[in-house]
Amino acid sequence: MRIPEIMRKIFIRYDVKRKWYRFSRSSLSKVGLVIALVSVFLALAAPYVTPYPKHAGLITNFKDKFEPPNLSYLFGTDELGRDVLTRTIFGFQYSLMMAAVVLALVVPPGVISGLVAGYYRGTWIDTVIMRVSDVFIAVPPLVLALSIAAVLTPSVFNAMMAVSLMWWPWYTRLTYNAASGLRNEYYVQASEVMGVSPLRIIFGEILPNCLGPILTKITLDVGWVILLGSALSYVGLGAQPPTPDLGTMVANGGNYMPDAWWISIFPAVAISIIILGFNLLGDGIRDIFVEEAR
Amino acid sequence: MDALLDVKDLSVGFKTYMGKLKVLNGVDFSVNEGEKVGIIGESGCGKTTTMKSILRILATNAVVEGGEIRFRGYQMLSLDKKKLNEVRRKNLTMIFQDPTSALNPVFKVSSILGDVIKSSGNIEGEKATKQLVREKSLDALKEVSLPDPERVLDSYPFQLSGGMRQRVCIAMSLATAKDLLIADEPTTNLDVTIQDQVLRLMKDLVSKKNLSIILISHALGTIRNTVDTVYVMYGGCMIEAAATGKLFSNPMHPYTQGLLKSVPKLTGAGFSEGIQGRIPDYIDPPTGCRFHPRCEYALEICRKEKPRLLKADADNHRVACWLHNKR
Amino acid sequence: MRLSIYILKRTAYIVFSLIGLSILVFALARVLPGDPARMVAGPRASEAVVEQIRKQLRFDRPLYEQYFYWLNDLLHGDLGYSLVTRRSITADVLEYLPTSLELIFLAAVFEVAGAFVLGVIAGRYSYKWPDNIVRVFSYVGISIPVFVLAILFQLLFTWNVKLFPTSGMLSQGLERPSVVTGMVTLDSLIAGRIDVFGNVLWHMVLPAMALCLGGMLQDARIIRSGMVENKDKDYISMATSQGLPERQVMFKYLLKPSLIPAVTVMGLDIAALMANAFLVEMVFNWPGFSKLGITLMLNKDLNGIVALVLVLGVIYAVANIVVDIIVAYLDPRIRLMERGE
Repeated sequence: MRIPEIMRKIFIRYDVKRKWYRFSRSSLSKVGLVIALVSVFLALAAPYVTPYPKHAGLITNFKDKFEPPNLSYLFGTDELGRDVLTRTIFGFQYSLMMAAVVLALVVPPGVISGLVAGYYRGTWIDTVIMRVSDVFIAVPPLVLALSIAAVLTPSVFNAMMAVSLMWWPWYTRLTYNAASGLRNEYYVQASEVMGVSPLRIIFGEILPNCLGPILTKITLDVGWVILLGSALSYVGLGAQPPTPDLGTMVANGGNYMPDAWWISIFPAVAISIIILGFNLLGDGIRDIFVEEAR
Repeated sequence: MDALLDVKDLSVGFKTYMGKLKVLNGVDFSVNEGEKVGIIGESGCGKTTTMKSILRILATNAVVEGGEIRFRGYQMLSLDKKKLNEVRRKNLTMIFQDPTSALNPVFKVSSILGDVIKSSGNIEGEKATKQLVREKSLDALKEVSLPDPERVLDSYPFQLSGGMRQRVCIAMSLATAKDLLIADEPTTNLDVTIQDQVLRLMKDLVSKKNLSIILISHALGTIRNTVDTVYVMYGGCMIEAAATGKLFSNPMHPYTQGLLKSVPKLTGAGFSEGIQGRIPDYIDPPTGCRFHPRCEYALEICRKEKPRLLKADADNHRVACWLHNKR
Repeated sequence: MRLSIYILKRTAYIVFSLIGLSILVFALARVLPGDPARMVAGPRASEAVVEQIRKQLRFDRPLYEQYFYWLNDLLHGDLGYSLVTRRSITADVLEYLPTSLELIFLAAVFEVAGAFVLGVIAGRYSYKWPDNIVRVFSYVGISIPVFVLAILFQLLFTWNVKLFPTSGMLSQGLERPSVVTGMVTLDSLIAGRIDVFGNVLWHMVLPAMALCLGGMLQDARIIRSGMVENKDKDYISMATSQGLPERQVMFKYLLKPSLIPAVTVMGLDIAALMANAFLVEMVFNWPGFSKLGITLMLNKDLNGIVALVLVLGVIYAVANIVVDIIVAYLDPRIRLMERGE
């Protein structure tokens, strides 16, 4: 039969069985995987699984405002009578979308610049790339993101741009550290002597051996980007009302604390759980690539 | 006469992600007072594990499955922490294979050497003042023929060369009086030019201080020149033991025979033959005698039951092999 | 190389980065649509006034000239003129920044102490229940965004259980002591007002805890991992085999190499506290630079933002340098690596 044969080949080529073994040794990692998958599912299926999809948009429902959690509104309603549960799940959409977009924008240039800098280590190429990225690392991430976002008009798009702009150097640095370590390995030097082009060396030999830290960081970063994004929204620089963004909802709910605590607390807990899930998942992925001690 | 150290039927395993590595498979081995014992065997046969078991410094995932270790009448495996430390301070000591990893990189030599000397108790009734400890540290370094001991004492390990580091380790081990020195491939990681020096230094110290010694080595030549008794280890147990001369002239176990034949000779024709096959997989080791899959003389019983290390002739030449063991 | 040269190198390096940063933010700020002169003058000012302002604030000059003048002012301690508060930004910063600094300082103290204690306990009893508790809490602590944690603390410890004050810096009826350092805690001590000191401290505890908790637990884990990883190293086996007392092996020979990676991370964390302080201050209404920052941001005060970011960058850089020095002190390999191996 065709399909199992292909699967078998993939399993062997990428050592899937051993990787899964290492990953699944920690039950926490499996929990993280579940949380991550559920979050993604909810984000994708939001309009179909929520009880009041319309509440995610521009709508008011004053007769039901400030309802504490009950049977028809599991997470209660906010000051405009909108269902908090629905808006929270739609919030997942925004959070994960932001993470996906930012990482898609940031990882390729970051990794490539890191690889190039690492391969040409010690030359002007290295110096230029690393100095430029150092500029962005000179200031704590949140401050930089805030300032960039502040300069632009508050919106989801601009928040994503702000975060992307300050995020890529971290990948450069990570990849640089990994690549420059490998740069002088014998197998790289052997390829150079054989006349293999630098491009093939960088992508064919150095990159695959850097994947571990990069993949780990990508997974953990989903959590960080969401955190940063929600912080920006909390301050008011991200998504604007009535968009159901988790950070905005927490900020908004702050006005009605402690009486209508559910407006803030449920989105807040939701953010935490998503981040927790991806953190655990990231740890599990890190375990896959760790060399087993003798 | 009771042996100084007596290891009986020791079995040790390691828990890993792939399952349990059953490394030591019933080790029988002893050292008498004043005796110089050598252990030879391939990498991975369990030599270091056996030694670490004696001192109880095995890794955290190690499990002692059975057997006993007796040292001067103490049951080492069940000894309480306090007594164990006393034995470590006063009787036993070990020199590790890699001097670089054996020295804590963020402390100066004076720190750990000083602490070793201080912990060995009041020295001849005098109080352990800084001055005194420093003096004794310098003495220990001088004993291992280190030039400029003052500088070495105040250095960090990474500032010293490989040979110097090993000398420092030797100095630490022998700074206070001991009965038994365990040397785990002490020169393997050193430059060839230094190896000889360090070995001779060790021989001198051993005879000067009347130590018993267990020397582990790959180098058959070194073993031959240094020790009285040789044990051959394979796959986690001792498979042959004899006086040095006897072992080299009349190896009885097929593995030993193969091993000695593998040494390339400068004279004579032809390449050395190896031993076919590979060392056993410790997770799923061969049943019975662990060497049997590679042995050209293997019998039916070799597969079923593990042979014990028993005398094969009048001269205390012992073999663990069904070819020689009487049933 | 010697420690002093090392410090100099690092400082030069960071100054370079900060210059780059200033260019970046400056450029961004100027690239926006809109007429900055008009923004300063206000919508009702006449054209003549706008022109005057434009000349005065040099908005009519080319970009690089503006940058040059700005840099010049900066080096003379003049951070520029805020378009919103209509006074020198330096004055603004001096008013609000010190109070943030004292909050951050308290949080840093909590973080280091807590991480140390928890980390060593978890390392000592690794794989047993103290370790597991620390591990679980550290996952949670890392994942909860700082402002969520702050809100939770507020909910639990100030509303549900009235243990701490809800917000602000001083209870009603108490006044800020006269400004000497700008830090209320120090100023109140200098002025001899112990009651004010105690009151401010009481207000500070909860925000400081919220600020440092995530980092504390993370650092604890790193210390713990370091200890567990190094436990099986040869140099520890060697020390144990020499019969050295277990306590000494654990707390002297195991701890020092295990602390080194932790100190690096702790340093970064503490520097990053600055960023998180922004959010925590918002939740607890603590009068620090967040108040300034928010006003600047919502009003798009570009001068202000650039200046503030730069000030924070400098502080962050200084903190990093201090951390580097501590690490170099702890790990002799780093500073002595030039000769030898």
